[in-house]
Amino acid sequence: MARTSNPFSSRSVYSTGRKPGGWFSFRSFVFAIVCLVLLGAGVFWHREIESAAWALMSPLQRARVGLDSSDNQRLRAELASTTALLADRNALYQETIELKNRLGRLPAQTSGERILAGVLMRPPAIPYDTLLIDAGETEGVHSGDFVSAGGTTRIGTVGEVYGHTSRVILFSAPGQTYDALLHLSSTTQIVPVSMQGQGSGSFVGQVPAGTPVKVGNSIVFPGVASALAGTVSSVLFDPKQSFVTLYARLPVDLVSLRFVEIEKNSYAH
Amino acid sequence: MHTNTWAVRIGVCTLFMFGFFLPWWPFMFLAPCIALLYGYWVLALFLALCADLVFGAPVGLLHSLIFPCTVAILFSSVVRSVIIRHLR
Repeated sequence: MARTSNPFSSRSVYSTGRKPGGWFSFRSFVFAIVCLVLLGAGVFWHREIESAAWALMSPLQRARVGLDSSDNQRLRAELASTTALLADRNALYQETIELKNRLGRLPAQTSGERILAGVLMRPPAIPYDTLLIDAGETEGVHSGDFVSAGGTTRIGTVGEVYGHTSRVILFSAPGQTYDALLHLSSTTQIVPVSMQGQGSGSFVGQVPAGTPVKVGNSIVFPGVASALAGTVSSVLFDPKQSFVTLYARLPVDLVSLRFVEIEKNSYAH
Repeated sequence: MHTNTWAVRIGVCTLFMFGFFLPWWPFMFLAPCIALLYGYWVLALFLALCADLVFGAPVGLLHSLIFPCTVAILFSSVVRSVIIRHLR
């Protein structure tokens, strides 16, 4: 009897006229072998398999990205870059005023070595709030390096590193938590805040009730060379609660992001 | 009936490729689910594995699974097999 394709018919798939076998049929044996191979691949060789797969797929993806370079795409990319630079400039302005007030405490000199990389895949092409970029181990990328969208606008860290590609985990990835500083409107006031990633480029955090937080305030990483991590996009205050919940967004538009910079030897963990 | 079989297989693969090139990842996850629904568990496993290679290991709680789609499809195929045996 022919095998039917009705998904709701439990009998049709097995109605071959044969007496059904026990649990140790050939099909079960193949299934067990597949499970064991997948388990082995997952535990021991997942990095090598992914690296080999991306060695094959990255030229295809590069070609696709290259074909998609219309004027509209170019302008959107420039707009995203400008938005990031503007947000960066505002954070730097606040920091400069604060530092001048403290009479000449200059930020420590960093090596400043950066690797420019193109974005091959971004949300919504891949889930988990990650980016796939076209620089890898060969180009000197290391797992844990900070990734910025230009200037001091940090957007994430390098996760998996393959031969010529790497995976970037954005700060807004679900389950990621970071200690940051909230710059309030008045230039000298900062509030420590723990930001938690929510996916789709957004974070959530809480500050004590009464904190004068406003939409547009900057969130930066602690340190003398403060790096911009996000801007407050919404503030929720419930009078019954002792905390104000604030929502923030990454300072760049992920859909239009074409290039990122990897800060070499700036290990995040 | 034979035509339907191949139509489902080709359709599922097309949906997967569509998800990759559109690009929109839910299509790439939907394709192996549909394949499994129609009983093609080998094809479903293959597509789920491909999807996991493209997606990479998840971030957060599911990180230790490494291949979450493949694990989900494996689990679903076992559940489907057990349910079919008991309902027969």
